[in-house]
Amino acid sequence: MEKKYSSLIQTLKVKLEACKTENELLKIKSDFLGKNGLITKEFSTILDAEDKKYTGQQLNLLKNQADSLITESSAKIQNLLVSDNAIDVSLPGRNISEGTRHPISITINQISNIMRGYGFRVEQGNEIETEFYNFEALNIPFNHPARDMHDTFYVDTKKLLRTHTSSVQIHSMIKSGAPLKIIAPGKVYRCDSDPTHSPMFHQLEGLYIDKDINFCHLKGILEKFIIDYFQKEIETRFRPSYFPFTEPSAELDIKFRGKWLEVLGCGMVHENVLKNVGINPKKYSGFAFGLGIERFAMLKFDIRDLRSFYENDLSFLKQFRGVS
Amino acid sequence: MKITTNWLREYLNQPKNLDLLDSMTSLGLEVESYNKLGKESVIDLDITPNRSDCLSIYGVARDLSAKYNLKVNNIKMSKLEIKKNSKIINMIDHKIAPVYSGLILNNFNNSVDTPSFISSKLEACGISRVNFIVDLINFTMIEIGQPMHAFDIDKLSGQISVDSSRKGETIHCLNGKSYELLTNTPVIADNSGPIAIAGVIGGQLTAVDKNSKSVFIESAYFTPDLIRLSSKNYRIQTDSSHRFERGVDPSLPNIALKRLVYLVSKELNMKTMDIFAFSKTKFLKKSRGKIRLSLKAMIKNLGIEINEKFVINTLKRLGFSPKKIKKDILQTTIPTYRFDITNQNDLIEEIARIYGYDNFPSSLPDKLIDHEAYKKPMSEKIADSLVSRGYNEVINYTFIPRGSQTLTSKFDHVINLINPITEDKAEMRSSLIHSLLKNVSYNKNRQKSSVKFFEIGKAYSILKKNKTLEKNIIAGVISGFNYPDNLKEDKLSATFYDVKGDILSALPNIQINQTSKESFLKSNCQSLIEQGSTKIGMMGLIERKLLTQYDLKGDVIYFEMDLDNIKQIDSVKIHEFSIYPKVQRDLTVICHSSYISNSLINKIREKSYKYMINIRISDIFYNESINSKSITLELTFQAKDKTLVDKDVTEEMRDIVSQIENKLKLKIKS
Repeated sequence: MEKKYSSLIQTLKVKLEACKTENELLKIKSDFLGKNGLITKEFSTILDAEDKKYTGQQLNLLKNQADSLITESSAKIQNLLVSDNAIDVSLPGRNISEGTRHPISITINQISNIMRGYGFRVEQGNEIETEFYNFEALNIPFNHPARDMHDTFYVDTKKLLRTHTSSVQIHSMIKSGAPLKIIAPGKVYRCDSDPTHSPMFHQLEGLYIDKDINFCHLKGILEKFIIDYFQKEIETRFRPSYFPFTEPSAELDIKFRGKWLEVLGCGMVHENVLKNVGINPKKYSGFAFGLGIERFAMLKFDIRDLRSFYENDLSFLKQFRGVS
Repeated sequence: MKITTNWLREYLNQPKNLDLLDSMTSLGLEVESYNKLGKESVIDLDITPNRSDCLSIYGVARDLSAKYNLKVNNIKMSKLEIKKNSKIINMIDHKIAPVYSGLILNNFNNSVDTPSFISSKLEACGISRVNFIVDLINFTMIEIGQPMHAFDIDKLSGQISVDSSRKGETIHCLNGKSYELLTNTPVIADNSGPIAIAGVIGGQLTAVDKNSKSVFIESAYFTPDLIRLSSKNYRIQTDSSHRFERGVDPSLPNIALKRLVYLVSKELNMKTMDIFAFSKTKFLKKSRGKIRLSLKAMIKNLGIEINEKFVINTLKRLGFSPKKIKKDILQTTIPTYRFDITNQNDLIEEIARIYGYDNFPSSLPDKLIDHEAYKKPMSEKIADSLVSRGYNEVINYTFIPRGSQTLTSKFDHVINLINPITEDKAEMRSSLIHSLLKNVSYNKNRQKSSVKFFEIGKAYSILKKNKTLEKNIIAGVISGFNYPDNLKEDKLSATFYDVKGDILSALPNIQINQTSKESFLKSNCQSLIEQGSTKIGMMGLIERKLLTQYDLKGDVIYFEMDLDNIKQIDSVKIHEFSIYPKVQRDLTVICHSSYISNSLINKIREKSYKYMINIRISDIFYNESINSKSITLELTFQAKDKTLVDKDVTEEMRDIVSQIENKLKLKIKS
């Protein structure tokens, strides 16, 4: 019996040696281990339970041996097949995306993500506004000299292109009342144009109204924001400034390459503004801030020329690959 | 406003170790620049519109003195007697000029040189030299903040009045321009008509020159709103209008005249009888009223305790006169030069300003406001998907050249700016196509002809009754190779189908199957983008005529979707799937080359089949010589509960074939 078994294995070995393709291998496998395979048939020679104990064990060993020989050959054949076609891994990948987000969108998203972490909700507003939302409700009456700070584009006698995102403050306060914690990024327009001013640019407005919000909170949140945005400790200073819709008003400067740079205007929301939107200033207080997206993008990405944002040159845009 | 440090030192006893620039900054007087000009150090200050009191050397000195508790030197003045009236005056409308003072200098020699201590300062401050008296007037204005104007008395016809203009009156001004005046513009007039636009600019005809022998110098307080209106109406901005519209201290006009006489007398030996000053005043209050400050309210607003003594001292140094009238409550008068202080919060700001913003601790509020959970906006989802398929996001000006939208929108839907900055930024875009084509053209001219751009932005239009509409749009444009960095064999020009694939990858629950009819897209090469029955946009090849407008040729593919109309997929209900093997069969249908392939699938889908679970178009072959195409459909069959046998599939296939042959009258390729 054992002699018969070892001759079967020997035959298998010879056949496998000669085998060169997968199909041949499948044939061999079926000839030996298939339904009517030479080894399978041997199982039918088992006589009784007594015989099963011994012969069965022997046959199982035989079957396992055959199995592993076939698997070994299979691997050999696989190797044979591919070794002629080595992959040049250094060739270009197919359909690589050179897509990018615009640095303004990247910056808006980065700032919004930080602010969302502080609990601010993102609001959108209209760009075509009335004088009420852009000026009057923000404590800038018709004849106010502060309107000089805003060279305004008019669409018709009553409508204008918003000069700041602060108009969204008014809409949100009227709509949602207090407490409120929002940011509003978007386009704004001023009719002046030179290398440092663009007639269209982007701002992000923030507003936080609640009970007992004070000037120290304004400082706390904005200082934290600067560190979170630039991801390093940065020297900041707050200095008095003037916006008709906040009081006290401040500019936030940061120390950048040894120089103080103005990056953000802010202040405690003016009592008149709260009254204008029906929020009780005795009960609620809050702060607002507005920042220029282009300025923040220029500082982070080392962009020198404001015009690059709107030329949309691919050589510029593609440098933002992978940035989000 | 430019000032020099030397000039400032004449008024401020400033300790050597005080850093002037930092001190000004911390007070809210923004330092624009700091330059050395010869012996002078020039500081250019950007004074915010609320602080008209700081539009002078004296004003800046006064503000610094409050913070650092320094002494401000007195202004050196002549002890001039000021009369109540003058025969040069006919009438003064006190609504225009609540205070109208004047100085008459007779037998006056205006041909002398301006003394160098004055001319060097004016030069450093960027004020051009005119003649002796005008230079002294300008010097006084920079020094103490009162604008004045000089008239040549010999050129006046009769008495002068402060009055409103009448229709049709004209004036030739010192800026060389003539103005036809509107009615009710505040003017200074003589018998001949207006000789100055009050507080804004003087007239050429009565201007003082080197040879003037007798001059009338006006020093007034004009009502700020009226001056602002004039400045706006005639678009004239002068150092004078800038100060008057923000508010000049009503107690200054007489001080200015006395200062001026002091300066003149130092240079010219004038006889007392040749100098005459007057002031006609409707009212001259000692303060701008009283307000109260609650210390509690201050602490609540600022977040820290500032002691009462500091508050009182600060207000005193700023020129206020605070008195404690109750526990917690101070009452104070407002100095005549502080036009920006009207209520308690203005005082709180003053305290904070002098206390120093940097001396406030920073703290974070320990509150939480309930907001609904963040949901990534549709625009961001689509943008991410497009970026991963090779698109570069652009951002464009939303105003575009006048007349550029004739091919894309109806004339009366376009919003025109009333005051555009240039003609090429005159119309608001009603579609993003022009912006994007400009980007393609710009880059093509810089040897980048394979581009895939998208923009997220607004499109603007006017509806009925002047109602304006802002739509949030995502639009894209593709030209050249789809993936220009691929190897040659894989480098293919972008087609309609590439873009369709890009959009469907970004938004799986939309359909692009229906031909559309946009005039700016090539006919039969464009499709609607739909979500169920809602139209959300369109895509297609851009019309040649429009491409020519941007000097472009070939296939440029465009898509545009209205973001507000797209519904988000938030969730999905998973259905159970079969574990039994699938069977696939191909079916090739021959049809006219213009046949819409999708209708084949729709037809088959009309009937429900037990085993047929999917149809897709797997191949297409055009036989252009006979205007036909063969569409190969790949049909997939699967049962939920068993392994399919040949018979199951063959029966359903037979039915499908008969649908196509009998209902659609199309031939099946055998």
